[in-house]
Amino acid sequence: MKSIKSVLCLAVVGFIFSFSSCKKDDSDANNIPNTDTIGELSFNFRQFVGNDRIVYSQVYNDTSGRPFKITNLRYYISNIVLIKANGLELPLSGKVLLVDNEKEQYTLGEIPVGDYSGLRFMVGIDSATNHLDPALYDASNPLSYQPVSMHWGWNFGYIFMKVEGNVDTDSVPTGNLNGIISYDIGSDPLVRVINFNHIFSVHGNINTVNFKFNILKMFSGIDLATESITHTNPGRDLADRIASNWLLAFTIEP
Amino acid sequence: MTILNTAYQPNMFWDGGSPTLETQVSAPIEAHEEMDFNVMKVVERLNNHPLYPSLFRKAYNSGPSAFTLTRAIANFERTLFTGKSKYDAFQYEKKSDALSASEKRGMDIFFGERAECFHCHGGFNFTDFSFKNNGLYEVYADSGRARITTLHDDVGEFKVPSLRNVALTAPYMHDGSVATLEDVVEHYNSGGKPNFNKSFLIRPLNLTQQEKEDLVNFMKALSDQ
Repeated sequence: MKSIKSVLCLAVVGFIFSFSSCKKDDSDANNIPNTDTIGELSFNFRQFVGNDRIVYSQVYNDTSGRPFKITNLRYYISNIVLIKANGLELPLSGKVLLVDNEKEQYTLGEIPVGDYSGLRFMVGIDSATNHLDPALYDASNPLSYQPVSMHWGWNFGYIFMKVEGNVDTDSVPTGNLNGIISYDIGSDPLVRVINFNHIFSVHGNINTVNFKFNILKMFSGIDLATESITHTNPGRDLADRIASNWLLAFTIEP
Repeated sequence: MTILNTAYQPNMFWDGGSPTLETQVSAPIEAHEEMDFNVMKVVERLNNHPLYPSLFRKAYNSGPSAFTLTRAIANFERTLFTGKSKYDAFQYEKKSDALSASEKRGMDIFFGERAECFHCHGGFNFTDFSFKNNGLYEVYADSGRARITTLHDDVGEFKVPSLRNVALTAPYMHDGSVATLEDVVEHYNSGGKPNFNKSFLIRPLNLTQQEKEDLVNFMKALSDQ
């Protein structure tokens, strides 16, 4: 097999008088990933209220005992960097995930096999990307216009995280979900980069890192009775506290 | 604000929050106060329409998509030109009788250093496209340009609108709170309300009743014939 390819390669060089050399690595020359060097990696994102998975319209309590439910939860993950065991950083440039509570697995594609000691990602969209025209992306790209809108339609850019639901806003909760939860969090200063120390390896086709997003941690220091709505601006202080709580809300599960 | 001559606008909306006509398209489609709909659902409807898919392919070599939808609407908007008012006949076609005596007096007030309207409403489109706080309120419910820049110095600033066809675009101001051109002139004549960010050009003008009428008549002469 190898000799046939070498002959073909030489023949092509002979015909077109190319200056490029025949590559020694067969898989590279044919663009077929070599499973000795390339594996596949997925990120799983699961959303929780404490230890309970978020199921839309199921009623939960926050840490103060206030009842609420979630009806829509989506967020952008971008600027993913994998850190190899030897400290080398592997940025997955251009890879953007739009995490939807109703979908768990997000494939990152082909990743060099080996041992890794950590990773980081950005919650949100970096400022260089945030103000580009969403119509320039194919519909399959998470940065294109979405059926559930994740863009403000003006130069503020993308909604980094959208949380919708209902909450009991009575001073003494009665179980009546009479208020609305509506967080549209975004704008350049509210991106948050989260670092994870996590030893994992990539070999073969099934490699997964499991992330837990605990919405109770995101609600830390936030009174849902009075602070259940912000579309970032106005109300920037609340949006800023929510974004900072992302640093606590995301953890890696075994 | 008129969308005529919108091709000249360096940015879109009263707060300048959208950089191009293409990116502007999604806002009215999705804003809760406007269509409260969704760009991709518009694209879906266009794709199910008996006529539009073939028209899109003819124009763009590709069917309805977020890309072709936003290009099509933006390019249509770029065809909306105006420039055939009595003022244009006077100023550019040099027809000295195109304006009445009152309209000419109004023009002198408009371009004079007493009312100073032209400093912001200058040029072919009667706007310099800048953002100004015109003292409409002491406290603005809508922070205007500051919503985009987050700068305190931009609070209550809105884009200076074109005055072409202004007699046809009532009500006035960024929030439509002023009903008539006479009331607009009254606002500027009064010098507006106190506001920390008000433009220094907004101050009492002491126009006479005749001068106010002349100014309104001049603005009415900016309507296309």
